[in-house]
Amino acid sequence: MTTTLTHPVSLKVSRLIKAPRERIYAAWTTPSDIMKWLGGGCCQFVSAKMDVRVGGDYSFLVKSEQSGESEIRGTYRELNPPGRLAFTWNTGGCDGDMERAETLVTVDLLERQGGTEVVISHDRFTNDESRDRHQAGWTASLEKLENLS
Amino acid sequence: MVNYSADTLDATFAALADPTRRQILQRLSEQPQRVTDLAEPFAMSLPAVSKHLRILEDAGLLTRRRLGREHHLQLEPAPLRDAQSWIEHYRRFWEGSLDALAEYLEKPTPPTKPKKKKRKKT
Repeated sequence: MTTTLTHPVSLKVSRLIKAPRERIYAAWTTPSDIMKWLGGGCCQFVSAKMDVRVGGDYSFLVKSEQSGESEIRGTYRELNPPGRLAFTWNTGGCDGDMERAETLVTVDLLERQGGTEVVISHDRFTNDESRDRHQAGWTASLEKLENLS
Repeated sequence: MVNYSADTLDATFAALADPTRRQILQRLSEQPQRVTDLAEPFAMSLPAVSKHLRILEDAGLLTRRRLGREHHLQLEPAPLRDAQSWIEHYRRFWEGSLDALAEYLEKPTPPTKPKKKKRKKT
């Protein structure tokens, strides 16, 4: 429980890779490259379409024994070679039964001795609708408090 | 397999995004509390605390029981478990991806053996 509450919302994964930043950036932004490693073998890539520009969309068709064919798709939000890219991510990865909600993946490529540290941050963010809902909740609870006093 | 609902998870993550709300949940994870007791250590007004409680309640992270004028709050751990398993799913996904990326990019480089110079046969 404590762990859950201490690090509940942000997911960060990092690893040192013995390759220059430019090469790693290319591996994230080239279809023939990304199909070779993304997902770490949890699923098989059928196709990768990538319109690599800010506002451009990508779409991966993947296949796994567990859940058949599913699609991972999103939009590039930030492209800053060779240091950073960010894109929205809509799917549950290789599990077809996970929900489709928009999440944001940010990849930072940091120069390190002997290679590059790749830092992936995966965040869920809330849309305006849920913010409005919270606003409504705020007002409602104030009214209730007034009634109580 | 856990069946995630996008709305539920969004509400959970939105609720957890705030440090005060995480602190409230932390305290409720120790024991159920009355609203007034819960609000006491926070340097904010009761309405401000109440706003946070409402968000947590909407997200299904706590339930409220009314006993007369008193509200008793209790932590509901189920949404936290769903959020945790979403995070764990992606942790495995991205760790697996980075391992595969390292293998893919590091493979072309031959092992760091010193190159043997060709020697003329005598």
